[in-house]
Amino acid sequence: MLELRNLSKQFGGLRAIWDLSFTVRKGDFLGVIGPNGAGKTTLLNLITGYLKPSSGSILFEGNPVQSLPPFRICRLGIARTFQVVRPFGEMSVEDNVLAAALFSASERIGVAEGRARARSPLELTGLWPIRDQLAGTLTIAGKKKLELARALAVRPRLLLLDEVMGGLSGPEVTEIVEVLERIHATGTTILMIEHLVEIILKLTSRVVVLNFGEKLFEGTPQEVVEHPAVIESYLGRPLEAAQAS
Amino acid sequence: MRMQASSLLRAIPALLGLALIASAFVDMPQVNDWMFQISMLIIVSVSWNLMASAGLVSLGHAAFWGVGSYASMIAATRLGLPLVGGVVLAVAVGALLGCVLALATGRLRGIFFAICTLALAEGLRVTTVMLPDQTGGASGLYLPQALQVPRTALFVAGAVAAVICAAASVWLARTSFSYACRAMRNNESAAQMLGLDPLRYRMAILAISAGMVAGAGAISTWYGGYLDPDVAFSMHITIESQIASILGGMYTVAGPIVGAIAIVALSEATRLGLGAHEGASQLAYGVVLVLGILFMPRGLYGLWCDLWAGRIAGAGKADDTATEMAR
Repeated sequence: MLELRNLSKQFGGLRAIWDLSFTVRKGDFLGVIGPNGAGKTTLLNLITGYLKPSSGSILFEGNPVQSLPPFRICRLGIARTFQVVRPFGEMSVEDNVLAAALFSASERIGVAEGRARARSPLELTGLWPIRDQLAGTLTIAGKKKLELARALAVRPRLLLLDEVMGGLSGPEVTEIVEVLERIHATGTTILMIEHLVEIILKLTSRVVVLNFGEKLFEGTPQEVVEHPAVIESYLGRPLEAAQAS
Repeated sequence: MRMQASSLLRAIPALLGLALIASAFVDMPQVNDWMFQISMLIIVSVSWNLMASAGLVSLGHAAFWGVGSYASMIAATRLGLPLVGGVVLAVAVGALLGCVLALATGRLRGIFFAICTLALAEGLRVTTVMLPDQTGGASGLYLPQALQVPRTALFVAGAVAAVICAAASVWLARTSFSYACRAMRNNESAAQMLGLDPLRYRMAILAISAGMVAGAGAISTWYGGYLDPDVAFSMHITIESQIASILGGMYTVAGPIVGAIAIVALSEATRLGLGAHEGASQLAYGVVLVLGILFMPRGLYGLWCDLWAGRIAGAGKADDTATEMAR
């Protein structure tokens, strides 16, 4: 469904993403993990057209998409959430989601139809009871849910999640995990960046580990958490090993 | 009771529009002049507010006004184009300028966009001075005698144009266009990820806004009968368009219209009441404006909404007003 081929992105001398290749297959629930600064968010920015790759290509359903602007990417059926939330603060929660339904629709739809389409994402994310609240007044957890609701209103075939659980309390995480399971079950392919390892273990079928912009490892979640190089990239080498080498 | 009151309220704008057009036929020069001023100011402030609601703050409405004025005046002096043709031409040229401005400013926002519009207005003013053969330069252009129309026709044209612009803004507020504007104002980059093409909307917004103001400029030129660069690209237009919107209530449909009426009323009242004392009228005008903006952050329309809500809900509304303020 989504294929990255030898993708690189340099900011001056910094290699944010370096020669990265992997494939997301239809129906996948792929996790992307890696320490801070590994290039996870840069990766999403490249896929969604916010950044242009320095070299390499991105194929979505067989077509190159690396030179398309974000709004075209969206209309192809890709939605994302932002790690640093970007709500429309002066609009109500419902209007935020409604806007997403309106502009992502492939055909021209009216406000009434948009409102109807906004309902299910609002209910799924538990925002329906507070739909009239201004988005700017939501808690961080509320804003994260709103990011997800807006992305769902796009009705994507590929959903990219950038730490959508960050800042959520335990019960809320459980709630959103259930929501994501349901969305995945309806046939949406999901690529998820997440720091919470238990979420990755629970939800994903495959994990790509990034470190310094390169693919360190790819495998099942179980393989990943047991892989020495992954542990090292997160925690550093054991002291005795470092001394020995 | 409530139902009746709200349907009455809904009829008020249409009645006001009819009253504005009807006033052109009243034979009272002073009233006609006020109504004409109000009509022109409604157009520029509705236009300014439309752009502002999408996060595009304009300091260059004089550019649109001036381009419309000159397009119609040059066509009138050279080609003998009459009023209606001149207004249509002005709207077209204004809309084109709006599109060019949208393309040229690309993704600029906020103060950066505002400065570009200011530069556009000033640049066009200087250009008209520098091209005396085409524009009459600093000595200006006079409307040919043969093309002049009765004043009543101009008052009707102004009122009709104002009603059309106001109706357009009411209609736009009900369509997905208003959602695009608000989303772009709040976070243009996030709006893109939801499938919104910012350039397309910017071009549409600027074309509509600039076209409106250019049309008003053309009508106003016929009213004045004379045009020079300082008249056409006067900073006054730019400033009044935003003050009317801000005083009336930004980002609302009614705000710019209420503001336009209030500004003309205020400036005429201070002029008539205090005109005898040198500078006193301007001072009073300024003080009232500053106080108005200080103590009515949501404008006259916002204040009216609060009062109206208070009347319906009674004492229970106090809490809501507090939350409203907290926003």
